[in-house]
Amino acid sequence: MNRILIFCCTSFVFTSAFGQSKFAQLDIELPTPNEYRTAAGAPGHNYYQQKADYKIAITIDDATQKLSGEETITYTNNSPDQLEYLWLQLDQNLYAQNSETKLIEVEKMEDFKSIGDVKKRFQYYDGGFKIDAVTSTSGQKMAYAINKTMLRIDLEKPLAPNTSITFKIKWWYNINDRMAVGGRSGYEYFEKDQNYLYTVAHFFPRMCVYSDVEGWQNKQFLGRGEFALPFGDYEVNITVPSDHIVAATGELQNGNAVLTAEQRKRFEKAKNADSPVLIVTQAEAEMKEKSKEKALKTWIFKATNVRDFAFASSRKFIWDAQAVKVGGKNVLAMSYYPKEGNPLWERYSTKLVAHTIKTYSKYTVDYPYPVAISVHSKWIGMEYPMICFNGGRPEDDGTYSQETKYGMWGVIIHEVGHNFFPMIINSDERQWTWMDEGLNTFVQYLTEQEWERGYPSRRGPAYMIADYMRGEKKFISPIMTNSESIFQFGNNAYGKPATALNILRETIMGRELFDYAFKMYCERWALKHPTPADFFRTMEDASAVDLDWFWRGWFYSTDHVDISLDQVKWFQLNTMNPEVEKAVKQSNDLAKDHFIGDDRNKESIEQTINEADPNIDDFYAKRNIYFVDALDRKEYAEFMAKLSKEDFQLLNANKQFYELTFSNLGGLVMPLIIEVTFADNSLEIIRIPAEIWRQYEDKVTKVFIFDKEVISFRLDPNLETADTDFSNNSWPKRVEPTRYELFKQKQMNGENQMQREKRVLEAEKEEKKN
Amino acid sequence: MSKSVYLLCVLFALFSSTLRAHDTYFAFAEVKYDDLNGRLEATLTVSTHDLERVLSEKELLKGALSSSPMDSLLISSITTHIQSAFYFSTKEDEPLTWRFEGIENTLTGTTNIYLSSAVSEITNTFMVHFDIFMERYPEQQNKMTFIYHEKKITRVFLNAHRTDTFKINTL
Repeated sequence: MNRILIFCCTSFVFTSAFGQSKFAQLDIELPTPNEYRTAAGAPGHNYYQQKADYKIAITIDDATQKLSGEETITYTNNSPDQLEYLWLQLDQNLYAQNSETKLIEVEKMEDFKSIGDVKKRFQYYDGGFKIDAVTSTSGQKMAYAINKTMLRIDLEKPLAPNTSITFKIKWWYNINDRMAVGGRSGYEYFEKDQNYLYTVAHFFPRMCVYSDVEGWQNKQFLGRGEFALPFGDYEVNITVPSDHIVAATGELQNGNAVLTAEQRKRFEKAKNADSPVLIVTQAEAEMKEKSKEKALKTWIFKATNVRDFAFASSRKFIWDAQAVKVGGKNVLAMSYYPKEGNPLWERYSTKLVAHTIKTYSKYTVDYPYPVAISVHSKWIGMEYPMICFNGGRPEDDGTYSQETKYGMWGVIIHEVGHNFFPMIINSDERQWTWMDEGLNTFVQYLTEQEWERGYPSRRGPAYMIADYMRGEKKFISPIMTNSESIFQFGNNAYGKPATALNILRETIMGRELFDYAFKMYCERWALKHPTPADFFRTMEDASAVDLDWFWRGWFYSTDHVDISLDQVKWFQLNTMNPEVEKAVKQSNDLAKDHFIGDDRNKESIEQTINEADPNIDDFYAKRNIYFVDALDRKEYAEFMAKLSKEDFQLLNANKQFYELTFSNLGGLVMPLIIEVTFADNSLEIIRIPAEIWRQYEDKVTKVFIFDKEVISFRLDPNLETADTDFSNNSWPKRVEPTRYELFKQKQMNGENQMQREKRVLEAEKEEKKN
Repeated sequence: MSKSVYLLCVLFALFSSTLRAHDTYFAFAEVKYDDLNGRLEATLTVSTHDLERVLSEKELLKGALSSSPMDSLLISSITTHIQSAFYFSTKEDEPLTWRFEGIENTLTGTTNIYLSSAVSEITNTFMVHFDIFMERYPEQQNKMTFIYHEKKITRVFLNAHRTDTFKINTL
């Protein structure tokens, strides 16, 4: 501890070179605002978007798992531009024989460790679209060209602004075995009862987006960057075996033709029910598993202002539904699942759908569609408008672990949440995965926390991203990276942006400012096509918080958070009172550590020369440096005469001064959040905004003044900044145990708690017998 | 031409690595060299979903990992899989042998596998190979943090960069 002579207020001492790159305003990184998109982040006065309306008729051949279809597309050009050609997406060509997706995979010999690995290399699946015809409404052939996953229709004359064109496409393809080939869409075959469960999407040639940002978004589909699609109205006829139940985007138009009277009655009841009503029971579904009807039925669905259409079909489906009120109207939350999904699905799926729709509506915009559907689909989670396919399958014995339950809950909330990002707030997934996955994962976190207190969310809390962000930078991508080029896809595009938004909400902006700005972004861009700049600009414009440094650090850089508390210096004010200060000095001198030789010499040397000879000690030897003399008292009196009453009180207030030095080791600037523990064990949290780094990015110091002595300082005590190294966060230094060391304190065993409960019941029976 | 033997066994089922939605594709390892006991102590954190998928495709697991009894066969299978895909050597071609210490499934979707390994002779240079799941998920990327005397180094392992070398005295 040091005694300081000059009183000083809290102050900065700068110890690093001048620089402000981390706080430079975003300029060249953002596009110039224009009549289509404003500098405030809103749609401009001339904002436009195209419209694509579809009438589709498809048939699934359950014997061959082949899908054939015909569609009539009416495309409306709302842009100010003439279009010489139209681009459509042929996503199913990912599975065509000339697909480049497998060719561009990096491989090494280590990937061929087994005969299975070799076999899969030679696996043959012909899954590409077979285009039979592209014609005008009068049946005339139209010129077209296919470039892998894109189809261009060459128009006889350009499509003028504010005009429409209608044309037809006929096609077929082999549906993929999703369990063998993989994919977002496909079928699962249930060997025990020999039935199929189809979850079908991107099954038809779909219009590309044409916009003010990119012209035609016709970047090839390589498999990771998902979809960019215009809004439109759909009428879809789906022909399947007559004992199938079909779930689809939109509202069923011909319930009288495809449902029994009892099913229709239950369906009507569900429309006003506040808990799930079974429309098809498990017993009924199990009966149908055996029937395997050959006759066909056509289900008709209509959907308005959606960006895509998907459906699911199986005779194995159990079906339940309930109403959820959003924005004054009822939305029908529904689930479709085989018996293999129970008991988890009947208990939770539809309730999760309802909760998700309601919670997302609170944080974003009111859900605008009439239905929201969750379909059971082993292993995966995948989203489409009003419908999504979700994993979460219990064990064969009907039990499930907590991990399976939370996995199922999480995937349903996430995929239903995708209705908002990107189905309603329709960003370009092909370009920016984070705009839907990241924002959706963030609201997923909020929704999970409202489902169950303390819900173990997989992503969102700041500390959970630390493993990903630390370390060397050459294999980490900025969030602002095209979907296909991202390193560590899940952490980069889901986890990091969700964490960043959580940090904005909890630490940088505060909940009130953040929630208002975030909702404003959603309202501005609902049923439109936003870009990253629209998001960044709206968040700042609606909150008056300059976030350029935050976007730059979290979205445009690969820096991580590692702020170190390097040094703590302790000072107290010098009272200038010689009676006090000399006594303190004497006390400090006595408290100093002694050299052992000095202590032993005191006993072993009976008398020194100067002790024996009084002539040896001079003025210096005889002087008592702790003695308060007349001059000391006079000078003190003069000093006191110059002080005001307030100065005197402050001088004698026994204030404790601490100068803390912080280093920014990770590069990502963040607020300093400091927990102070005082000698009386009381705590105080001090929050210093990130702008403390605005001119000196590497190292800063700050002085804190307290009434009490401090026994410890700790950075980021509430795990809110994603700091990647806690070993340098504390004074006095704390040693952080490794995960291995923490594990050694625990014992685990490998059965789920429901399985253990069964054994408990057996043991109890046995006990009673005995 | 080297005639390395890569075809190790024929138990594996036929599956493709073609794309699936929403996978995580990551593994983290935290490894500490405990020079008091002369051993490495490692925690390997993987996505439970990815691990279950790999084990079930090899017909080593049916259902969820958290519902499966940790019998010696499953432990041995997991350890063997890890040994072939995550290893340290202090000299070339002499990987250290992991001893399985435990496994823990978290509710947040990850599985921690705890391992230790005796290091008979500590040398300055460690070679690390870390390509777990890369044969199954082409986009898998792994990361390791090595701790020695409270100093840390973090390295990334990719499909095209599966092995790395670092020197302890540079920590």
